[in-house]
Amino acid sequence: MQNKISIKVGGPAGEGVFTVGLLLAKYFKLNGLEVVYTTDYPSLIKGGHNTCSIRAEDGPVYAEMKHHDVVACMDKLAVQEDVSSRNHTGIVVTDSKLVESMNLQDDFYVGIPIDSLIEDVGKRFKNTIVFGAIVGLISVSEEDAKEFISQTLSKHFGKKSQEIIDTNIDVALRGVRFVNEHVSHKKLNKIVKIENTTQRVMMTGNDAAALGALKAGLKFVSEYPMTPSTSFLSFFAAREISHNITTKHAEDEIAAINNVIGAAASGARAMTATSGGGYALMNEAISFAGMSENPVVIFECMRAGPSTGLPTYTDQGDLMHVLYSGSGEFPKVVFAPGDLQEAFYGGFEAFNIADLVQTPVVVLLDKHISASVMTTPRFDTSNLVVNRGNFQEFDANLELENYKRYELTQDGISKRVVIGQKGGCHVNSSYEHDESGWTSEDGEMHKLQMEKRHKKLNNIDKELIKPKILGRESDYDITLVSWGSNKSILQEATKYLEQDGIKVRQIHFMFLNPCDWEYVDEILRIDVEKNSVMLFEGNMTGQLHSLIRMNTGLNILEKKLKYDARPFFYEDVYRDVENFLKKRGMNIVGGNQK
Amino acid sequence: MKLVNTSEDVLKKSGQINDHEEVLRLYDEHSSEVKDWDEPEHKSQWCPGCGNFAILLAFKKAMVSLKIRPEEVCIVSGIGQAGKFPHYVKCYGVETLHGRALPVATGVKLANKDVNVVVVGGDGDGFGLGMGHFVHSARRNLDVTYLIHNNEIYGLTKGQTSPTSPKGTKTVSTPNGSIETPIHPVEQAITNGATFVARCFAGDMEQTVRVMAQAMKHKGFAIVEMLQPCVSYNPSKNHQYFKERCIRVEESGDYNPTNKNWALALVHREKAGLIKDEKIACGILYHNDSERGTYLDELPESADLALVKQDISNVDIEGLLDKFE
Ligand SMILES: Cc1ncc(C[n+]2csc(CCOP(=O)(O)OP(=O)(O)O)c2C)c(N)n1
Ligand code: SF4
Ligand SMILES: [Mg+2]
Repeated sequence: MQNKISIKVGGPAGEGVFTVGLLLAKYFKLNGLEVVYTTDYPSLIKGGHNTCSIRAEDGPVYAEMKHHDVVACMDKLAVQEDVSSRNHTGIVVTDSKLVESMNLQDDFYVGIPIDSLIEDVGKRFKNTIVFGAIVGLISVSEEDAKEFISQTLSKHFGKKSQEIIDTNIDVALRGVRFVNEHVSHKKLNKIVKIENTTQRVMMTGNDAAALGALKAGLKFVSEYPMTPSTSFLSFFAAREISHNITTKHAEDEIAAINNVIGAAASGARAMTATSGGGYALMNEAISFAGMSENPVVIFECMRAGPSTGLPTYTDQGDLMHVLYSGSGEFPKVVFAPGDLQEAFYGGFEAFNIADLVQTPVVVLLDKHISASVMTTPRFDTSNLVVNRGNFQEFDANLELENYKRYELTQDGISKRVVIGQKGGCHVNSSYEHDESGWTSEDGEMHKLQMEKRHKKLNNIDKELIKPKILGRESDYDITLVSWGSNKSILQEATKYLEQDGIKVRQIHFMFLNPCDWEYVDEILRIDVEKNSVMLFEGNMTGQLHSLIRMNTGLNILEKKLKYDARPFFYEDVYRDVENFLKKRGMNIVGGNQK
Repeated sequence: MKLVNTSEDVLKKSGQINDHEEVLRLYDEHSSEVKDWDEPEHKSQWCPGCGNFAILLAFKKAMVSLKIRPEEVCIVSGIGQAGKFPHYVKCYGVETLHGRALPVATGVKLANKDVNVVVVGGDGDGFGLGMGHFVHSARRNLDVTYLIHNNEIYGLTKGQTSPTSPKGTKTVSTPNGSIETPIHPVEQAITNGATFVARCFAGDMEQTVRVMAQAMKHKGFAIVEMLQPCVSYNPSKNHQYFKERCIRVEESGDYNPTNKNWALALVHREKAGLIKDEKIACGILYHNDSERGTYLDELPESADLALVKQDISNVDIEGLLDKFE
């Protein structure tokens, strides 16, 4: 592998740390590399300590690294906090003022005289100069750096004036020139452009899911801002006119979900997005949607709780909350995409499933997948088909006869109509009802309607609800189990474990409900009994662990639970697996892991 | 001129009907009778003598007077005695959650602007759990009509004090008399920005039908406080009580409903107990069509065609994907 680099940038909030990160991500993508760009920031607008990490390689990368080739420290605090995350050959780029004042003597420090380099243009170009200096350190030549810097900045500032773009290019190149002239002795892997023939896009998980929803014909969004789901609201608000969707910033989450239920009852494809606290407020309405059989789609982007918790940090603590939200028993679809591809196709499919089974569909994301920027092959939309299920599109020339909204049918699914359709009058109700929608407290009717609602889930594609086996299906030493965004991190660890001769089978639970538990039992029982299964979850109590046990009786003994509100590092996963296998007497050669 | 949305409006707009005679003929065919709005199979769950019966009849008569068809109307209700309303009217209905009728109605209307949306709920429903939504709906000025049945009591849960119960009201939840001052529905509606505010007692059927129809025709958020006797849990405010006190405000000398200050002055006199003989002014108390546009007027995405009627079979996102390359 030619190209392989990981960079961390740290600095005060509001000083362009994330701009440096994004510019580098774009720079690498233009060089044909695969990129993961993650951010770590407290819930503050100015003054907090922000960091981001940019990792790029020739082949697929799925997760950030723990240790970096370059650490750029934009202030004193960053030097104190982030220097320890350099790898053993890594260098630290910082302001030469700090090198002096903090007496940084190690030769891995590269001091950039930021103030004098941008004296004529002003302090706001600090991030551009840092970007330029980093590029200078990793580019093969100044011409090469110039070419890609121009492209990167033109793309980044696309809408701004040529003058702004030119000044930025000029400033970035001063950074390049400075390191070329003064720090040539620092050894670093150089980035060489590769031909990447697959068409790729670069975006966050929320962007991918929102694009899927847009493709699915989403017409109505109502949301109340809550990190890390807020970008859905702004994504759709910006596309109201271009894509004919109404976006409502509701007065609260209760209003948001009820707006969505109303729009769905009308017949439009509708969604909301929120995080755990907002989802808690939606509980009553979610069971209303279940009872009244209105197809609503909810994106729940988890952050660390309980309560207000750690707003900008990741966690997987809401699985049980979401699965069991709402009063009473009603069917609910819950799935958790593991990467951008699953976020996009899941974002699309959520609406087909909602229309198919006419009940709430919750897509569980978390801050890690919601807000990290990654490259992925451009989504192929040519085979995506909008399927509205048993739904009567509005027809002014049609008068329905004997229409019953909650008709008891073989598969549990009954026809929906657009409010306004002739012959379709009925009450869409939160009360138990008979086939017509009229309130019924008859025990027999209640049983029949309960059964009708519950059996609707049987109509979902049987293949879709099986957990996905990644990598080896047979001849493996260990099975790694996870759900949601940890899929990618385990994939990354698996890559290195396999290089070191450890044979890994990975099981990713995308569908949490419904889920094919018989199949789960089939693929896990022998391995659980041999104690050769490890489960990784971003919560404290092992919620998937409990769910598997509840549904299959299988008790996975080796669970790695991370609840420090940070994503897993694949390096740690590697070590965990290595240690576990060693304990079990396996001889591991090791060495490739980095 | 009728201002409600009927399929004829839509046809006319789309230029499918040009002949004036033809329009008139269709318009006539379109009209309904009260029985077209009946749901004879749905046996009422209200107490005999409940004020809701008269409101129900007035509503059906108002619909007939508007010459709209049942499928062109959707009643979105909360939970309570008033919340059962949609079951007794043949039209579309959504019986939502306690206090959440307004946000559901907002979604119904924004997704399908061609439907005439009526919201029905009790005083507890609207001013208890639903108060936040009430305030925001008023400032939103969405084109829906809100009938708030005020019996100054929680009827369905058997007689607890409600947000509109007068101070000192003794019920099972306030046996020593309620301590809080009541909410004044008309005041809330006007000060929060509703563009049509009325109060009716269905004992005056003629006025109630007329005002309801006007509320429906109003472009914007129209609120009608329905004075509703609850014979079981608030027996002192029975039909007789309202019959003796309700007067037609439009017949009073200084009637000036387009003037907010006039309406608010009336509210203040009522709150201060300065109204002679405890008369209750019924009719349209504030009405201003030109004050501001409705929420939907500002939404270009559904200006030509209601969202639910737009084709979604092949949405193009390729241009957007290009931007992420
Ligand atoms: C979330 C929730 N809380 C409480 C209730 C119980 N509840 C049903 S109706 C009602 C009050 C009804 O009073 P009002 O809205 O004035 O309607 P009325 O019955 O007087 O017409 C209450 C408390 C409920 N259904 N849902
Ligand atoms: S309890 Fe009161 S409000 Fe309820 S039905 Fe009886 S009379 Fe009407
Ligand atoms: Mg009441």
